[in-house]
Amino acid sequence: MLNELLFKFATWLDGFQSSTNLHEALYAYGWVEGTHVLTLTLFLGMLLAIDLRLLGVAFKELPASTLIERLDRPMMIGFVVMLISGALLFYAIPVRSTQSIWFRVKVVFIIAAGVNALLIRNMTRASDMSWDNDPVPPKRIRVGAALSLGLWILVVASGRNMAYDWWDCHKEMPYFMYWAAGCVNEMAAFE
Amino acid sequence: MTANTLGKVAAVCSIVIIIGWGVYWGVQVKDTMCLLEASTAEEMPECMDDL
Amino acid sequence: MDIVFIFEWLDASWLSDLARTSAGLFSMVQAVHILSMIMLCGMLILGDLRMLNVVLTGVPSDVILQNTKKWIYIGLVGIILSGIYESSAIAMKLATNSFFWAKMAGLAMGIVFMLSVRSAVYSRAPEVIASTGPKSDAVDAWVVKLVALANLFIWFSVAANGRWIGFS
Repeated sequence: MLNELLFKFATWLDGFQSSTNLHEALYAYGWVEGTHVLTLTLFLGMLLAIDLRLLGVAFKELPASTLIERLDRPMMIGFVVMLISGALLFYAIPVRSTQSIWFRVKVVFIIAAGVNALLIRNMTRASDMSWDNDPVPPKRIRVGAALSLGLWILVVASGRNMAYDWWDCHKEMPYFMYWAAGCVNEMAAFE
Repeated sequence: MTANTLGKVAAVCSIVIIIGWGVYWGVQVKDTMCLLEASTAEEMPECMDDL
Repeated sequence: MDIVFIFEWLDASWLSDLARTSAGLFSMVQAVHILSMIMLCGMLILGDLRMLNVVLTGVPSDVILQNTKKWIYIGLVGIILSGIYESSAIAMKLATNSFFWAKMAGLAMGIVFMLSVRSAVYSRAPEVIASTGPKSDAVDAWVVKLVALANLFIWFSVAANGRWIGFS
């Protein structure tokens, strides 16, 4: 049922002229995609610095809170640009994106990374940052930071794989894959 | 090297890079965009005269 | 200087065969290339934004710069190795691609600039930027910022050219 809903939504978006224009224009899509990839260096670059500190592997002379608080703004600026450019990329090719198993996996990982970030934030607040000046933070924080890096690596890899058509709907796949990718027409025609 | 000399060398290098590389790269991007346009357009775009 | 023979060699190598055969492995190497870029450029950006006095102001700059060094080198190694692997799959096409050459020129410029001018100037940044205590022999603040901008520009062009290779 969710697959049907998502497919309807994507098809509705696909109907807009601006969606087609964005996809087919000579440069527009390229600029948006280029912005999306390059802004990664700002967004995930700042996150990398924070996570390396939380892992106790770099910037050990600085209090962890300094990096977390002071790098938050550039990181969030990067994140907003990623969201906007990502939304535009989705809007340009809504049906294929919705039915891309890699896009779905990417969204799941992004949500997981967000939840992980919230958990880390709660942990730091609960602990009153008593470990702030310790070169190596407590184990729970380090696990959270490692998870953060791991999840974002998976986000980047999934995003990269979206370009490949290994599991596109037009390919012959097991029913489970059609369901996972939301290939509603192929699911209906399976028998 | 004194700070004064280093400052001058660094400033010159930086300006040459920003302006020189900027212009070179800008022209390259412009020409490529022109070629892209020409490959998909029905008539030759005006930019082809500047290539 | 005719270096096309390097690309011809690469094109006929076992590396090229491997790169062209397994799409799954290729995409993983591409992901490594992007992640290396995040590490390399991210750490460079952190240092440059610090020296522009835009982030982490007041935090001693030598702490930031010292800590980013190791990750810059790791990112550089990762990006070069993954880049060679990716290049081997389309070696002959790249040999005549102007954006590829622009990217390589930018990369060479970036590495040399980073190791020479950027490193020297940042280590002699004035107190108002560096926050490391009064210095007797410091360069002017505007020079430090100009160097930061030049570095950001070079590496931006390397990354952007990387994307343009795909479009040309």
